[in-house]
Amino acid sequence: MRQAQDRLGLRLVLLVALVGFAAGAAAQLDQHHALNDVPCQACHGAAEPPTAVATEQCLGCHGPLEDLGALTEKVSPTNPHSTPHGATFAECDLCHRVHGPSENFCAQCHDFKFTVP
Amino acid sequence: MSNKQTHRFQALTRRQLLKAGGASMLGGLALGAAGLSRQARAEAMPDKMPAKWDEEVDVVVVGSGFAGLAAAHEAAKAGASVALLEKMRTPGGNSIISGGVIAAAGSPLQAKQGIKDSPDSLYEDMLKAGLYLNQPELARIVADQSVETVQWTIDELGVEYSGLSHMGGHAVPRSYSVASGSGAGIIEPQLARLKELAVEPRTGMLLKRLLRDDDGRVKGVIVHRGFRHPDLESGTPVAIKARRAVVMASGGFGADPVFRALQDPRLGGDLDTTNQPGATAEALRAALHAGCILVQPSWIQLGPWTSPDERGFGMAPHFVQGVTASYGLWVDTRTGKRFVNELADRKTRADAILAAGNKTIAFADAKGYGKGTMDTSQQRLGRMKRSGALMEYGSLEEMARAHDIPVSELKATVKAFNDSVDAGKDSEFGRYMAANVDKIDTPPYYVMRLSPKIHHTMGGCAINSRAQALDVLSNQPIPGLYVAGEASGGVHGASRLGSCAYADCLTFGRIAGRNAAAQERWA
Ligand SMILES: Cc1cc2nc3c(=O)[nH]c(=O)nc-3n(C[C@H](O)[C@H](O)[C@H](O)COP(=O)(O)OP(=O)(O)OC[C@H]3O[C@@H](n4cnc5c(N)ncnc54)[C@H](O)[C@@H]3O)c2cc1C
Repeated sequence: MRQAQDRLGLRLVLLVALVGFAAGAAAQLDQHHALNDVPCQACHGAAEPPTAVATEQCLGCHGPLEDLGALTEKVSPTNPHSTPHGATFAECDLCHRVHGPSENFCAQCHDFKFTVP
Repeated sequence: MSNKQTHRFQALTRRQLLKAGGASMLGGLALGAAGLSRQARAEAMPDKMPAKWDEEVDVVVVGSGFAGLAAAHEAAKAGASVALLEKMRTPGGNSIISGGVIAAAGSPLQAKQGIKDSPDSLYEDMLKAGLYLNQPELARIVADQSVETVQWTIDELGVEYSGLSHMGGHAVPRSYSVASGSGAGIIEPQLARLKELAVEPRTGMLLKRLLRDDDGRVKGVIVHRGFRHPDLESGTPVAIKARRAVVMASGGFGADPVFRALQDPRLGGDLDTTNQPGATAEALRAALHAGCILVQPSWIQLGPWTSPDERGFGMAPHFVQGVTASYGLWVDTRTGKRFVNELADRKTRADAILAAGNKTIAFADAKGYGKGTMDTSQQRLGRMKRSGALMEYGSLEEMARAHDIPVSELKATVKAFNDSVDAGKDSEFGRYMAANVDKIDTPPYYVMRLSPKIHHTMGGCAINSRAQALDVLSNQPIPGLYVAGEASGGVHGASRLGSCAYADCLTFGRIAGRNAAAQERWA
């Protein structure tokens, strides 16, 4: 139950982030994590220097991917969390950067005008 | 060997001797040279071997499309350690975004559907489309092994297929359709099997140089780790030793306007392409620098089934090829008449569209749409309409008005075709008529405009039937270097038939991987 609540909370945060970015707010995802009491170690563990975070790690809190897909089902012209190109095109960090500006990875081939939080 | 060449080789040997500074070296060298008889020595400028290698493996594979993954698979299965290098941020190259059809001549699925076919027939189709510029020996291998290759994807990888398609230029329906609808349906199982074999693609690894020693052998590579497309200077150089061999499976150069324009000045600049952005020529340039032979590079294929109303490959081919080529018609909007056999090979069709100044459309009626697509939920239809590529009209008159087609000519064209359907034979262009082809008479009518885009580069490095790269000076195999897939040239001649690239890349990728793993170690 508690876990479910946490997850709901996370989704809300995600939604807020989505709305915020649509409105043009320029904050980075590390701020969002910090503001929601997610410390560096929660993602990076104890390794020094910190290493890159794997998609499974992101999905541990934000996933599974199908749930994220449900969140963005209505995004036009197509759902960014449902790719026909397979799992390797569903790596979070292709688009989402936590410590820098995110990017619309799909746009290198497609005319999808996604605003990526 | 000409005098001049002999002379250069002697000069090299002497330099080496001086470097090694001893008579005992002489014996070693002579032996080495005998061991490499009928293989090419580095008569072109040899590379300096790095003082220290950052990594060592048996086999280095460059590229993670069908060819590279198949090569890595066979090499790993043979017990070789493998470094699988990919410059982009995702593996799969053109393969993972591709259309999902693979040719197999004389297959079990054909037998089930009562379609008579043979490797000879596929071979003849390949050569006919290729204007007989194909290297017969290479095309033979692809045709003869086509059923075995598809069977391998089923048995070894667990790939699922949903049926047979009829691709342009093929005598009969013989192309297996990947059930999930794209090349990802093969790449993903390839990656999964490789993972079991403890091989994973390393992304952001750009091949910069193939290192060819002065004994003629390719001994390793210089790679930029942390490469960020398209900045060729990004990343840090790393030297990887290939104890057995390097397999170049770096794909074609369809997304490289500069290299394209060198081969065909009409195809540079802003022409759209169906290829992934990393389909560029720097790996090919590195191979040429190492002494490979570039063959047939100006044969660059335009896909005839793409639309100007969306970017890249898009969704158009599914409709234009899947539906209209068999169940609809292509017409010149200025005349209202058909202008080509809609099932001809790609070059014939693309040339015909270009000759009509692109003023052409492909269309089908509602029945045709239903037969040509597995889109029963009409989900794809909705997406194609939303993207603006697909237009829908309630009548032929409405369609004619919207596209400025003389309406009476258009109706006459449709009537002539419907008469052909009754007769069971296309009197106008001799198009193959499947048994379920029906008259065009049921609205709505679906339409796409046509505009060919850069799709496949037939040229590449010259190889032999063992996938060994040939040396530009001696024409002998370059020891330690294999090339497979779109990076090689000669299999398809002037024009590749649809669904034959999969067969080529997987077949020769496997050949290259097996031979690379079997190559004797130099260190
Ligand atoms: C949209 C589309 C649809 C297609 N549909 C079909 C079809 O249905 N049937 C069919 O038979 N054929 C089809 N083709 C053609 C076929 O898919 C390709 O020819 C085939 O996938 C090529 O495989 P490959 O392994 O040779 O190269 P690729 O799959 O392109 O892989 C080459 C890889 O090497 C990497 N690379 C390049 N240079 C370097 C470097 N310097 N360092 C490191 N890595 C490098 C690339 O990034 C790429 O990932 C299609 C092609 C496209 C573009």
